[in-house]
Amino acid sequence: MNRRKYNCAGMGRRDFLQVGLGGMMGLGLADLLRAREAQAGKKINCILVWLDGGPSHYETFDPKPDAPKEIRGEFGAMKTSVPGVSFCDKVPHLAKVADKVTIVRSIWHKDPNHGGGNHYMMTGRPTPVPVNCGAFVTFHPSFGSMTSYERGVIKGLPPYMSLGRMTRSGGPNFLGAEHAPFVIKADPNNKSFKVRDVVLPQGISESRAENRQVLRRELDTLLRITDKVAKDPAVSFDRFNAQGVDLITSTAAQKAFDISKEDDKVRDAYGRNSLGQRMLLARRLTEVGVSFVTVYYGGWDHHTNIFKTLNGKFMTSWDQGLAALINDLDVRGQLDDTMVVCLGEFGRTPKVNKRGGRDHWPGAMSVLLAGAGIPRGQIVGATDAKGYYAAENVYTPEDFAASLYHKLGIDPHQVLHTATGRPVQLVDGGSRIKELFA
Amino acid sequence: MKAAIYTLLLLVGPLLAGTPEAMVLLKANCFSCHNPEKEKGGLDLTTRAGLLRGSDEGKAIIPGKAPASRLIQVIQTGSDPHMPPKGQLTPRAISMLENWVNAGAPWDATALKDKPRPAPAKLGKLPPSYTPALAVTLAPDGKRLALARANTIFIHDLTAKNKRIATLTGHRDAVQSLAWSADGKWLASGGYRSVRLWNTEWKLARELTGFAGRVTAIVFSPDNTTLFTADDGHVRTWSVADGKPASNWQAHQDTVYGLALSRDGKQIATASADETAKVWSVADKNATATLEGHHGAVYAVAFKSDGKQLATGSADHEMLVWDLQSKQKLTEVRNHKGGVTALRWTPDDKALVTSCEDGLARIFTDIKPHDGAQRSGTAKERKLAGASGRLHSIATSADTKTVVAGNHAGDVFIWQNNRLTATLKAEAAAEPKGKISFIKDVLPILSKAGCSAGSCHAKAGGQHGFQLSVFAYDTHKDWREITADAHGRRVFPAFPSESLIVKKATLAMPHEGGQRIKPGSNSDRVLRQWIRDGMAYQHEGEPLLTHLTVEPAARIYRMGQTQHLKVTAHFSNDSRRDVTALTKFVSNDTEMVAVDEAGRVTVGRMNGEGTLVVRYMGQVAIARVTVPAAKKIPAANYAALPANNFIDELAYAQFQRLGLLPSELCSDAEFLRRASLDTIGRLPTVEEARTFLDDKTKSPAKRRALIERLLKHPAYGDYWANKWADLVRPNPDRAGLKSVYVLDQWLREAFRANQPMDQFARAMITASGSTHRFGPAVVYRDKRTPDEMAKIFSQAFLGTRLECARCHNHPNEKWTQSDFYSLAAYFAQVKRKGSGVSPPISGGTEFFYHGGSGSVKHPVTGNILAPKPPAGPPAQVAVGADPRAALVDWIVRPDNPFFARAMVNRVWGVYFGRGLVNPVDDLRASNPAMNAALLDALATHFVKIKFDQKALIRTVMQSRLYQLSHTPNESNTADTRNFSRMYLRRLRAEVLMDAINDVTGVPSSFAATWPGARAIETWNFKISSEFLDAFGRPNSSSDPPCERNTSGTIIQALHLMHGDGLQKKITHAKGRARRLADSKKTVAEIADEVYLAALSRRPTKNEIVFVEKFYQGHNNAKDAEDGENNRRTATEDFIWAIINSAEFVFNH
Repeated sequence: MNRRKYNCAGMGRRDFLQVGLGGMMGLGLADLLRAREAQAGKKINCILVWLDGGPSHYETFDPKPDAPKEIRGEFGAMKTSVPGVSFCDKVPHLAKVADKVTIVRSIWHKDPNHGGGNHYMMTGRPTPVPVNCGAFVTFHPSFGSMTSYERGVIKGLPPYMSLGRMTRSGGPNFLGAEHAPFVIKADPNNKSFKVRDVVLPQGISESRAENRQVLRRELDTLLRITDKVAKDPAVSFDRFNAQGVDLITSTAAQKAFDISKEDDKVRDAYGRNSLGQRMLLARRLTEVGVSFVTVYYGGWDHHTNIFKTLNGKFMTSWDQGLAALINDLDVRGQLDDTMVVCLGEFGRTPKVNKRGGRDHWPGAMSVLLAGAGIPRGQIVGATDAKGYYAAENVYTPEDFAASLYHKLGIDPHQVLHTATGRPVQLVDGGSRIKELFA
Repeated sequence: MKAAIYTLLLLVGPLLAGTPEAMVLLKANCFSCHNPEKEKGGLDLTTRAGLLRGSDEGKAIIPGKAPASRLIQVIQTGSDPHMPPKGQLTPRAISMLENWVNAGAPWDATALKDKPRPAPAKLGKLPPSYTPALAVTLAPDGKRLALARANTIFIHDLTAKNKRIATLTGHRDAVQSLAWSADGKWLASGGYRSVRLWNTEWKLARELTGFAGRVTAIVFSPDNTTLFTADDGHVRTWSVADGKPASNWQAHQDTVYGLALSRDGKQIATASADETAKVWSVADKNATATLEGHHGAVYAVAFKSDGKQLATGSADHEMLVWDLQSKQKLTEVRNHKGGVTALRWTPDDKALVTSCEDGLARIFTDIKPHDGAQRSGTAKERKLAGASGRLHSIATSADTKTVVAGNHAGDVFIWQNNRLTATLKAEAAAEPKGKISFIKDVLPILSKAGCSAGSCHAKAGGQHGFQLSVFAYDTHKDWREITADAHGRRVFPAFPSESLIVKKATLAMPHEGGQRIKPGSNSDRVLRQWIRDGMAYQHEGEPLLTHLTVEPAARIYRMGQTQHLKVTAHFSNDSRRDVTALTKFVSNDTEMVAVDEAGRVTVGRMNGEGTLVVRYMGQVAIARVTVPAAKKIPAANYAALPANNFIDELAYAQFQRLGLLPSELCSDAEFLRRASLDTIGRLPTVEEARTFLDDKTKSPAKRRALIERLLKHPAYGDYWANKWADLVRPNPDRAGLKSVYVLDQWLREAFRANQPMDQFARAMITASGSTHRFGPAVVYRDKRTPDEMAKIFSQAFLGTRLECARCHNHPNEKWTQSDFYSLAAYFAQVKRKGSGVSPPISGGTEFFYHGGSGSVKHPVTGNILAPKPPAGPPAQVAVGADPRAALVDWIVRPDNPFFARAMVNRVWGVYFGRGLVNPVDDLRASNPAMNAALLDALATHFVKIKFDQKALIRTVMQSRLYQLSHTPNESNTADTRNFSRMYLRRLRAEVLMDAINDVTGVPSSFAATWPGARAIETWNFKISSEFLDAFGRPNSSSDPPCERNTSGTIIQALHLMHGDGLQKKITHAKGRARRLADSKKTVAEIADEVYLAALSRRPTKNEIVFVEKFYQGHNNAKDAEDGENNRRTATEDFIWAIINSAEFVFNH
């Protein structure tokens, strides 16, 4: 097994190398942890907004106003803050922040099913067998789980969180439950919003929580075998407990969870709805060091009445929230250290169907990326004149995955081993989307 | 003066710093990935500027400071990340690079220059067995055919019974391309660095030279004045009149396989290995379109007559038709089962004719663009019958009536009006020379070099278009891939050293995988000689590999000792060969014992037993390593150990061998808790605990009585059903809720009734009937193909993981694909009717039954396989009988090597937290049991007691081994696999949840169950529970179904500490905490009850004192916000602390 080994303090081999032998001998544990944090501080954190169901590229970032009516649909195109670039006219807020983001219009694959498409875009790997549309499958670690595996727990925070729910293929697969996302189902737009498990339950004060810990330590007398070769699970039990305590006592983390402390103006800017507030919460979480936050926004499977749905709240919440997230990160000077990615499993059919909807179409999709040094105000690639297929600077999900991993400082071509010892390359082939690294 | 010194330094600096050597090292090990093209890791190391710039992760080097330079850091042994990713530089190379960086990293571009590769002055002779027809072409009038067979061109007259009218010689290497001018006056042929123009008298009129490599494609301009050629990535134009070059440009960075001119001669299209096709304006050589969308090398391009559409064919098995103005893909044709090697439009634009590596020529008509509502457009396919082999080329006549295709053997097929009228066979092809064969010699070299590793060329889709089968399970395909694929560009029989496969493997050209074969090594020589000899797959009468032996096969080692293994291959003619150098070595347990690539064993610092697996060409052998403790324990100590039954005796024998002494017997309280949790998945109640602890009966009898009580407990069935559900329960999203419920209830009933395991297996495997009535049928509803059925039942009842062998021969076992599909053949006659699965509801009922017919084919050979158990003779299945019954008959035979072992091992795993074979369902020769004698004895016992699981459990629980303490002694701290002490096991999710409910006195409520249901009674993983999710339950949507993960997580810790759920239970008005706090009990009495409820023991004096102090503290707290009832909060906190203790969370 090629898994990284952690010692009791939760430090990987890499940390020791980075700190160096001198550090090991001359510094105390607290110094080491500080060194680790300094190191971690430089890393890019990621907010991935997942549009489950597959958003239409026509009705978002790749309108085709010159195509015939049955293809261009009912909406128009609008100018954006980038000269010569148009978005669909139903995303005015995003059009304004076009000068801060890159849109890749030329990613495509061949899996037209939700199960398979989700898996491909969430892990960078196609499913090894065709799967049903309704399927929730996992054959490979997701981006978030892999980030958790690589970075470990930083400042006691779960490194991978998923807001709303876990996405279909957003799990750890063979990396193990340790790297599953911490899911926050509760709606931060609710007045009574509280993050489960990471804030003290109602009625438990900090001093009481502390007393409980003291009592626990005193009463928990089960023998711990400290010899490493014994691999005593009680020892790692203590480690996870200590991390949990850290999290509760870390004021920075606790503040992040308390979204009510956010300025009302900022909250309004994101939109007073579940999605808007989830994006805001995502920002607050990455701010305190959560490495990877997925924001789930489902309902994009518009087989019927696409124009009616996208001409309402469903669209404006997303448009406003995502634009606000990008602006907010930018204003705070955090955009360089944070990557924002927004996509779904595929695009939608060029031709509007009889039910006024668009069906699944993996031949083209648009992906929004911002931050992490990704050039601002850029369009990468293009679909053909009618938006059927990615046609210029065409990229695959593997290229996308390699790029994401590269930005996160993770070697996309490393070889991992499954529980049965089967070697698996994190991303099979794929090379970086060069335009994201200009 | 200063300037002079500086100049002098500049001049001699590089030499002093070993610059040329360092440059060469950089080039050989880094440039393949870190070049301006690939820029892996954002790094370009091919210039000094790039080296100094580094990547976003920082500078690559700091001149003068080697230790601080990242480049130097990452090449050290054991660094993480490590470079180069697939190798380790020698210490000498590392120090050379260090010196160079310390000297300021002077750059010397001249050292980087490729030494000009001299054109091979004289190509060698092509092996006579090598006769591929890489090119065919028809004269414009359709009457004459030119075909290339290896390096000879034959002209046939199609009007005169295909008579051969000329033979053109002169090319040394195989002719790659042929073209006929539109006026029929010229035939052009392309070979290695040469194009020959032949006139109508079949005389060589001119030879064009100056090419960089093989000329892979040729076309004439429509006016016959200009010739276009492609070699490597270059396109060149030539004047036909005088053979002078007119222009040339680099069209692609990789091989151009195909050229096509538009009918007006104004556009030229190029097809390239870089996975794109491009269209160029002939006038100014500007690219007007780059067509991206293929996932493999593009082999062929063809214009429609108006020049507005282009068809492309690719190694990715697809043919695409593009609109050149919008660059839109109009039609995707996916009928081909191999790479599309060549294609032509018929002149009337009505049809596309293609040749394919799958051996078929096809004509597509009615080619319609897709309509934007569905993905691919349509085209009518017509297969031209009669061809075989791998087709490399195709030609059509202007009237479209004649189609000609050539294959790799050199056969050329001629169809007239879609009917095969002639096959021009290659003259009786000579057998390849020599003795070297692909199977016997070359494949072992490539395997050992790592080419067919899962992360290199054997991954799905291969690497850069070159794909080998995983662990070489499909040797024929690998052979074809190397010798014939990609227009044969991987081999160069006229000059073997120039073969792509040799150059890449020896790093004579950039290779991401680095140098896999040392230039000049024996492997290099064998590879080149094999190519020169004609690339035999296997020689006639060649002896076959029968088995391997390894020496020493078993040995007792001292800690830290080393040993070289020797591996011998045995062949069918009784010959032997030392294959140590070509063998792959793997240690099953690297902490115990390590083994390197050369077979050198290094024993670690642990006592125990380890296994080394050696693998060579599908054969496996094992070497056992026994490492006793350094300190010898007198035999008398073992003689004195009390043994309750045969389990203890066999365990002690092993302990003695390894120098381990077992821990002491655990306490009665520990045994009570352990036995209850392991047998019924519940904590003893306070009353039960009290009664047991107060019972004055002496221990063995007392414990035996408890065991009997537990085995009679009704919860036994639920606990075991829950475990088996992990193995067979389908995703309700797929198989339907009702079906999943029916299966769940059946499992519970089976274990409640203690159905003997042979009957249990028979019921599951031979299931017939409705999925809404008979539980076992539900497994078939989920596993719908014979291979899925074979996979699940072999894992469940044979304890073997055959799924590896589904796709490739098992890497660490003798299981082959034949074994797997022969097992699947037992299930070939399972039929179903009724409403099938319709995720996510699957509401209807489905019936399964023995249909009486059906068969399973080997996926590679295509042979129909008869039902045959792995490691057994073929099955005798009576006509009309259900083969599944025959399978069960074999499984439950007393001498079946798998079933009883698999069943007892599973039970062992539950009671000891780890199987004798681990993982519990991975029984195979290369993963032997920790104590094979014990496993055998248990299996024999299980057969004797007629597969009665409760009786087996009784034996296990009565053993002293099961009753050992968790506390280690001096000898066994490091023992984590021989069971000389009890190992800690975290309670599984459902058990832990029920335990918390029992301790707090507040049950949980679950959807889709009855009020008061326990977690162990939930019957599908979609019944929502944050707790169960956090602590892990198998998610049947994951494939392969994951083992339950019992490693801790921070999420679990958080959930236990701060979960709302726990807090509510602790503070519940009807919960235990409230009841105790409101009672008149003393703190000592409260402590007594909580300890008994949660830990099945009484608190110690010290603990009571501490708890009392804690209550005291609460009473004294002035600012306690719960001031009015400090006794309540104290009790809540006390229960919280116990639940959050390791003693509670673990079974010990």
